[in-house]
Amino acid sequence: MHAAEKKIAVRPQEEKRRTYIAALIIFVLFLVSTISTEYQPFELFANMENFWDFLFQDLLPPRLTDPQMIVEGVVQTVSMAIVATLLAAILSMILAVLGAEATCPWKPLRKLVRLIASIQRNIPNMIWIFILIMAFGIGNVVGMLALLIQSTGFMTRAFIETLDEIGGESLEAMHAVGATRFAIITQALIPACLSGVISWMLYGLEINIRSSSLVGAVGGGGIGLVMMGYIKQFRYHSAMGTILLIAAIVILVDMLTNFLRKKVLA
Amino acid sequence: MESILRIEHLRKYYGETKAVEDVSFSVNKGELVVIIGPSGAGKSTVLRCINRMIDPTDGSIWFEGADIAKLTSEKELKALRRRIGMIFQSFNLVYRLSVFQNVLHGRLGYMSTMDAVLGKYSEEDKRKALELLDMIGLKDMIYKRAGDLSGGQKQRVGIARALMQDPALLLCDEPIASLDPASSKIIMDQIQKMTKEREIACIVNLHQVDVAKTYADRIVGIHKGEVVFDDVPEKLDEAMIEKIYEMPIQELTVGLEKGKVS
Amino acid sequence: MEGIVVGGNRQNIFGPEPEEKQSSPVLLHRDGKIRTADPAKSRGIKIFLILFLIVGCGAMYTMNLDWAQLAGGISQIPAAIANLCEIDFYQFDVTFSALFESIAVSILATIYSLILGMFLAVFMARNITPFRWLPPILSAFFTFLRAIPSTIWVLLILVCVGFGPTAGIIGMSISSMAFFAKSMCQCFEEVSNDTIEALKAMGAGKIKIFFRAILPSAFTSLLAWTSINFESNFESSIILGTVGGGGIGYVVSNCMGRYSYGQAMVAILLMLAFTYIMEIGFTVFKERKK
Repeated sequence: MHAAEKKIAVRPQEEKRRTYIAALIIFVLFLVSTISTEYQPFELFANMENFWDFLFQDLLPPRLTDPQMIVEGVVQTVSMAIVATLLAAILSMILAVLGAEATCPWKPLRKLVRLIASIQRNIPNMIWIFILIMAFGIGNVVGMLALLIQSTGFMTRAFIETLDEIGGESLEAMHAVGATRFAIITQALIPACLSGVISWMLYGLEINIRSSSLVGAVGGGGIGLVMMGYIKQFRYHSAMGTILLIAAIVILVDMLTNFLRKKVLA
Repeated sequence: MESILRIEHLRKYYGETKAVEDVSFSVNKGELVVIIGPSGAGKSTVLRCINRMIDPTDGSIWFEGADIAKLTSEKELKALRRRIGMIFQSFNLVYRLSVFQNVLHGRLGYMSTMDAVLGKYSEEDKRKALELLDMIGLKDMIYKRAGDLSGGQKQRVGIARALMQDPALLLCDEPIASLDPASSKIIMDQIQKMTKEREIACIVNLHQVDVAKTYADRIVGIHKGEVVFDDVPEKLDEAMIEKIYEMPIQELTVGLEKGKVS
Repeated sequence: MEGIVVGGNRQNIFGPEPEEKQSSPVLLHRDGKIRTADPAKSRGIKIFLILFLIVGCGAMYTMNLDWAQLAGGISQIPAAIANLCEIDFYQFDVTFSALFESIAVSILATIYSLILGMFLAVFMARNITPFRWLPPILSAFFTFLRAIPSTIWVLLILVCVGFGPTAGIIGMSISSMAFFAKSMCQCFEEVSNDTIEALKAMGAGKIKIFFRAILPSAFTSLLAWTSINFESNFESSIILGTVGGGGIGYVVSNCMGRYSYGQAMVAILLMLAFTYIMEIGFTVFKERKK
């Protein structure tokens, strides 16, 4: 092998250069972020003792005090998620029919529906809560509406996609048979979309259960508010108990939705 | 002729199931041996016992003067496997990577772990890979993704990758089963050419009898895990084929016409 | 297509079909009318929908929604929007640096959790793990970590290490790590066993196979997962601000508390602009990678 000879590139030069640039950008971002936030993970490891103390003395064992308040909180949170999912499903079905190419012949309306859905989806939940609190004050109305807005956003989009996917071919066939638009929508499209709709509803329920405890914490009521209260009162054992309860609820609901998916959609 | 591989009374049971009952044959340098037999006869199992992807139950496998049937240490197995190239029915490339990178994978067994992790291939290896790619006719697409190639081209990459290992023995497990007749011919020609030019011992599993007869120096017929035929292709008569495949020759030839090469 | 075979005149090349299948090719309603769909298929869906409706109504009842509040609030919406629209650039520099802090926190959380998560995914993917008993344990552990919203983790860490970005980074890293571990594990397991076998047959060890075959195969999905995770981290960094982790969320909640809605609106708009730019950036990046 001659040293003077040019090295053979395993990957094309351009691709290599791009990888280097990407790596460099990531490194710079990392560096700048670390400096600006003064984040030192290793210092944290040095202070692990504090952490263990906190974990085993302040947090563990978890405790569930005030059973009545907690039960009420759980019921609130779960109800909030279910109601939001149900209303969102109904609302998005209507919006989707107005927004899908297969069902709505009027283009400006389709654009408008898609725009609304995209706004609902892309503005973080938290911002919706702030805005809603301005109008409604604190309470479960705000929590429910915040969940409703976000899940309507993504469900509308998902339903539109389902409708268009199924719509394309069967619509043509139905037109050829001579069916009216209304008959097509109710007889062919919606029944065919139902299983897709249900799977998105189950997904929405999972998301809403997760968010509803959070939404509660910042002013929507429910178990989240109870937990927040414990933390503010420095009652960490009780807070930990509530947190584990939230985790248990989330896992249970996930298991339930998985079960339903297998049962209903099989 | 110098014998590279000698298998004696190889046996492989999976619990009660007898995959390979009694297989003995040997392969010389530069010799192309084709194993034929119906699916489920144990052809694949025999190949995978040779490079020890499967542990044989009993029998011995002499490769380059040592019995490798009883090897257990991971280190010895790796050293053995890099001397044996393998070509697969479904190519088994890393489809996200380029053709060049896939061929270079053939050197992984020889490299230090550190170099392998960083993807630092020596210039010598790269030059060799380029030569091989030139030889198999893929020099123009070395930076193309392996996943974007046609089936025949993928298999050619597979051959180049196996040859990168500098193998003493090449195992081909149904190399043309998922290819069209034209590509099949190219692949079989290349395998034959490499075997002769580089004096590699080569074992090919096939289910097309006519292909086997065209390319093999010797044919080994396996039936229910036992060798029932081991001779030059000219001696393989219709009665023998019927015995190996347990099927009247008329029914077999229907399939043969389809898989016919040239 | 739910075609029903009415006649049995098609010759079956695999021999006669079992008796039961041929006995009743046309499904009838109880009153003798011909059914147009197989009831077994849609029954589950119908029952589910009806049940969900009932449960939903029950939930509406137990939730005890304050209808007066709802009705009263709706009339307040225009006023609220009008308040927000009075854009006020007061203390814009503070808002901007707060946005920057939120971004920095999300970047660090994403990077650290990516590294940790990927490392753990190696032990969790069933096809490459060095210990067979480990994957189910890890999987259960990560399910637990992910079941608790990241904000709650942040709250807990906040109590432990005190206010500031550190708590946010660690708290978010916990759920992000679980996210990466699970999704990367899935990517690793998708790499075909045949390919792994091929490299093993060449004498390559597990480490070499991982870096040369499995990791490159998972790379494209890795980019997608990273962008999703970064977006969700940025979103939680907003929530985080409201519980005391600093950043843009703190500015928004603080302004809201002081009734300076115009200032809050600036913060919100900044945030949305960043989310939008980021989305475009990732899309362009993905296109170019192809």
